Amino acid sequence: MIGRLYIIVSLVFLLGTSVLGELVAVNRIDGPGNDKFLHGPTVFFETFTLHTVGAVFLGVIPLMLGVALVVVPLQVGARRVAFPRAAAMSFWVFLVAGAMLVISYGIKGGPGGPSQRGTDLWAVAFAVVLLALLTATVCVITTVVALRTPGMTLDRVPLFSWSMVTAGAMWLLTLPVLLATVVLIFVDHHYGKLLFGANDNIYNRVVWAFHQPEVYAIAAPVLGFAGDVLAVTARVRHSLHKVAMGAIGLFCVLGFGAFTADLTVPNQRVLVNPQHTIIYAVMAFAAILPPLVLLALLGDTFRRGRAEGKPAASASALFAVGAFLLVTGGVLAGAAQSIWGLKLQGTLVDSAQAHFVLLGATIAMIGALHWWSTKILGRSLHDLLGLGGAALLVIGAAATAIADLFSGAIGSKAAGETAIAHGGIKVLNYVMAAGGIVMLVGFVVVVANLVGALVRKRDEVEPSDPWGGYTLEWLTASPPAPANFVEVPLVTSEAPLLDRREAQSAMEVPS
Amino acid sequence: MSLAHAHEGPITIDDIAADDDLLDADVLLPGPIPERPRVLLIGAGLASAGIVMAFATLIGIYIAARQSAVGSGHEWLKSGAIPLTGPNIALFTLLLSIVTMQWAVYSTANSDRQNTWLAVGVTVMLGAAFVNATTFIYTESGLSVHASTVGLLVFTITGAHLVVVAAAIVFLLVAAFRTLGTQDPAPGREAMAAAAVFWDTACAVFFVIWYAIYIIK
Repeated sequence: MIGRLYIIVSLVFLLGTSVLGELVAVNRIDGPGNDKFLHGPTVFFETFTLHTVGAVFLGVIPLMLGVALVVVPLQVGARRVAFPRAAAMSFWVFLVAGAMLVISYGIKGGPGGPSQRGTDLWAVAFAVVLLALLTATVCVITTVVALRTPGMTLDRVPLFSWSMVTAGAMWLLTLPVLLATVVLIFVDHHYGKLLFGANDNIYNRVVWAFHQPEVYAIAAPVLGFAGDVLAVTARVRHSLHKVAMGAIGLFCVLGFGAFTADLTVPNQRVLVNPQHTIIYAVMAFAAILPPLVLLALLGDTFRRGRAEGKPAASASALFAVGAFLLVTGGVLAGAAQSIWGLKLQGTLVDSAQAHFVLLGATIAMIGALHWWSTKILGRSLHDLLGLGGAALLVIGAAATAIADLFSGAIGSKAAGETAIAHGGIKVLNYVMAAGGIVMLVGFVVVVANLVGALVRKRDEVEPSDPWGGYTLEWLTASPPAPANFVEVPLVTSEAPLLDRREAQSAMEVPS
Repeated sequence: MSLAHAHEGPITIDDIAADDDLLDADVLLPGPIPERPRVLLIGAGLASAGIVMAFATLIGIYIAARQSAVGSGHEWLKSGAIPLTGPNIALFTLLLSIVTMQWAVYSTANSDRQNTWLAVGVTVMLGAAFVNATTFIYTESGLSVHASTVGLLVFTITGAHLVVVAAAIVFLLVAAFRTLGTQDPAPGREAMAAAAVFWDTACAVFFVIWYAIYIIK
């Protein structure tokens, strides 16, 4: 139930921050000084920061945690999530703190906002949101580590659950750094602005959380989701499951972005320490490896599936492929950006790279809602509407990110986040704005699909396994009964349901 | 009526087919009780890791700010600004509390209620003494959160640590009441061990704070 609440609230916040992002994009078309909708000296920047902070910490990460709180216990054969009361507390605290965060902008607070008290409220609310998300993360990780069903060793854990464990571990190492920074921002801002100075400098202290390499730790569940969905779509066992797990783990490790939080150099997003530059570049190039490895493994899986004439397309597969390609594009953009000689740091390529990866993560989680809809909602979703929504979201995200990428590569080379928010080549700014509108339409289609499924009259019992899945969640009823499993199953591989089907087929073969 | 010998793990069809005793048995003895998953201990460990990272950030910022100030020729902390007596007493208080915490865990494992209550009580008292020592350091130091960067950082770091110690005390008390409220405290060893992990983390963090702030200054 708590997972479902997280999903609903995070979708609402995502819709709101997407609209704000579109306002920023439209406002940016004609460049600085030509504010169309966001009038006022600080309104544009406040809208921009609410879009970035809200999209990631009120939207994407809570959506991932919501899906994980429902799906992960089912995948590992647990009767419940670990620390259910703590998970419930984390949601309600997140809801209240998230509302406070939005309200702080309403009273002219937030980074760059003129109100002292509003900015203090922003810092406190942001810190509490982070605490809530970290609590939920501990619940998810502990579920996988401690509550797996007998026989499910860590190397047999499904890829989505594994990706949530590794991503969660990285969040536990990096988000406390952000939390400590925000606490210090509050104390400094409230008691005299001695350390970080005026409101304008606040965003620079937290912006590392929305850029590479930290975004890789946020987007790692995309790889796990794609791995789970595409193996079932191909109708064959996943190639080299342990190698895939290793690739996902490596991707998360390379998403340790806390070291890019340079908190002593004011007003600079660009890294100045040459050693950090080398580490940054090495990590950026190394991050290409995991998606490529997974691409190769998934390619091999599909090749074997096609050879047996099996693959069955679905909306979830389109979500998974689209999200995976977006994240891979972001990783490649990040690698290019890390080459110091190209001077791409501090340009719109930053924004493009973040858009590629974070939009990919959002699309993957919406795809996860589609894939696991019978478990999360107790209803199956309309596949055609799902296909339409997926196509619109992927196309819109690609247009948004690619427009920014070219704008940054060949256009303005402004330094500082505010200039980046204003910069860009006009034609490409139009493309970016159009991409945002396409995404919003796609989002509306997805929401319509979800609402339609919920209000639709239930004529028959929903299937427990609509996709022919391989992992334990497909054993449960739709929606799962209390305590999830009637009988705790014994697991002997990473695809227990496929094992069972193959054993049954072998028994049915006439001698 | 015959009894089968105790069998390790769940009994399968193959086990019964292979073992005549099992085949003949009228009553099968239950298998061993499955080991409880260490949920609380793992959760406490993860939370502790997060706390360590948060304080690593704060102390890192403190050290960087100090280096920047000293490097540009400014005075960071006046000589004698924070007398070492208070921080040393606080440190030794926490070191003692690590011992009493382990005493509590050991007593719980041995179902020794009296010693568990005593150990928990002494640990909580030592935690309260630490809080008292820290507030004494605040009054003795004369630092202000308004007036200087060093004051701001010292108050933020030590204040955050006080919050963690308070949380550790609450965690310990809850674990103790849950454990000692049952008929046999021994199964509650995991809760006490989890509280011990959290407590020890708070102590380890203070050791780093003591060295970085009070010794190096």
